Amino acid sequence: MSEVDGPIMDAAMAPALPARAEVEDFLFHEAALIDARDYDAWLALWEQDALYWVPCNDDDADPEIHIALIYDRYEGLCDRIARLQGGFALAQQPLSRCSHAITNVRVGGARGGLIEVQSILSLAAYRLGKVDLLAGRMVHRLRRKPDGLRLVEKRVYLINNDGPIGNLSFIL
Amino acid sequence: MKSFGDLVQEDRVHGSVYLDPAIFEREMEAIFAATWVYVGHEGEIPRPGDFRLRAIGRQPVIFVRDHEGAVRVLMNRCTHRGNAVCVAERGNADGFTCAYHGWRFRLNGDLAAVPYGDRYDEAFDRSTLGLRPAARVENYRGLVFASLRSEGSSLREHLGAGVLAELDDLTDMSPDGDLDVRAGVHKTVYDGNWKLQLENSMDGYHPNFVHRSHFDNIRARTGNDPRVHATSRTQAHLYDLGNGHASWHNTGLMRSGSQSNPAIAMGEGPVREYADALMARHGEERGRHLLAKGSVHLMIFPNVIFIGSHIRMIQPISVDRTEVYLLPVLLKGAPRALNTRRLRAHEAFYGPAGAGAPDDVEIFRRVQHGLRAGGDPWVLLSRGATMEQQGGNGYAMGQITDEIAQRAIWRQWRTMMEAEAIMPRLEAVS
Ligand code: FES
Ligand SMILES: [Fe+2]
Repeated sequence: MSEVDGPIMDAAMAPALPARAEVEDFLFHEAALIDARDYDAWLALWEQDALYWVPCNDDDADPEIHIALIYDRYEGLCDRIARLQGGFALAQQPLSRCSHAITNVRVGGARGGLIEVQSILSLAAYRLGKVDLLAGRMVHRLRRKPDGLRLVEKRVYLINNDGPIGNLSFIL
Repeated sequence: MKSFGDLVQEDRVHGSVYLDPAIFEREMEAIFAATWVYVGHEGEIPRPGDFRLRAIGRQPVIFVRDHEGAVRVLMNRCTHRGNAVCVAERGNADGFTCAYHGWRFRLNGDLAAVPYGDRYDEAFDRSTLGLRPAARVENYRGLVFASLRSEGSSLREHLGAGVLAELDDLTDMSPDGDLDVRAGVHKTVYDGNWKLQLENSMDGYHPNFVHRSHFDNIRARTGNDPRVHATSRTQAHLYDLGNGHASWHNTGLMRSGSQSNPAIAMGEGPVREYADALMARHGEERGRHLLAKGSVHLMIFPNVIFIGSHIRMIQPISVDRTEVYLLPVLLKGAPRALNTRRLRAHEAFYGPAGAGAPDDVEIFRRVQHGLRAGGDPWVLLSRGATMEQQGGNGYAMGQITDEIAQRAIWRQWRTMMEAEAIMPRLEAVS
């Protein structure tokens, strides 16, 4: 947890830190793509060395020996959106209607050539007469490419990641 | 007034068994408080003071290792005025101090201290006021079961030879002969009856329909069609192991679609190392048997299923609400990479964000909804009923798309529900 608490400068690999506005625009754009169910465009934000990680039970769980709620590499992301797009995933019949609010954005620093961004997620997901509220801290790790920022890593630390969860078959 | 024999017949059950709150109340007494219920693996609480909160039916219990190293199952209820003495879901403690008036209990349940004791007279006997233990706690190869009844068959008698053999296979798949159940837990919750999850855990008829989206992805990626593993022609079988228990055997089945089998190709190194370790420990013949089997698929009535690479505990909350806990199992002594692979394979399919389990859970919700419709109250369980055979192990055997396991569940359910002297009010049942 502590590794994202303050600015970290890796002198050898440090990219220039972007202004918060640029990073916010990127996160807001990502959220808008998910809410609009434009999953192809969302997938196109990702680099091939993708990691979409939602820890389970403990925020500092070690994925080599601890279960995660989600630990998707690029292939897993493709499978995940194929289920959302295919029409046969029962838990997404009908699809959840999601509303992402991204706040408290901080450009945390640079590490391993990646820009680290912390934010807070508040997500309302409506399906079949029920609104589920999910919230937690997020860490995005972004790569600067000639045509803009790209997603390498997205972690979501849900506040209830040690409690019973009914349906997480949409994108956080 | 209908009897349980009217509601649960050999090849069909009345929908009210999923819907009637009075039947649910009776299940908590006649089943959960009456039989062996799985509580946890002793490896979850390796050190003195380690504890986990668990439940037997709806009764909260503390699964704890005491100072002498013994595993205890204690009622989480202060013997003074009923406050739950343990609130943390997991942790390590020196003892349990009740937050209400400060009574202090040792890890073995003994009452150690009563604040301001001068207002009790000499008839007050602390030695009788420890946290109440489950009447019986028994352990088979690290798997701990508790019974709230002091009489009745032993755990081994209750499980029977068929279940014990499966549990031996499960445990022996670890090169050290021991399981590591400390990888965390997936918790899911659904608006449906607890028996829907129990029945579904041994249902080979549903995968090609409920899990189509997942199978489509596998087919697109590998070119292999996993649907061949769940048809009525698939050479895989279900066994009725008695007392409501059942197992699923894939032996002879091509497993290319199975993600949870650690023996499938995942890079030569760790698999070979694992295979060599199993052979070294168990010898050629048993080693090969364990590798070919790959995983154990076993349901122990009423609350635990071993499937894929996890232990699944069913926690009834109310007649139409259930929590399910999935505890991934790592194999002690297996290469770390293989165990990590088990975790990734598990979470890809199971848990609230997996590619499979949420669709099962959605079906439970829909069934609970659909059962409210009148007209024909019956749920049919006749599939394969006249085609059961005697398996090589001496147990009744059916093909995996048959409903032999569901019939086994309901036979045990009826036996237990009828065994109790007090009948609930069933007039509301039509
Ligand atoms: S209820 Fe526990 S000390 Fe009073
Ligand atoms: Fe299923």
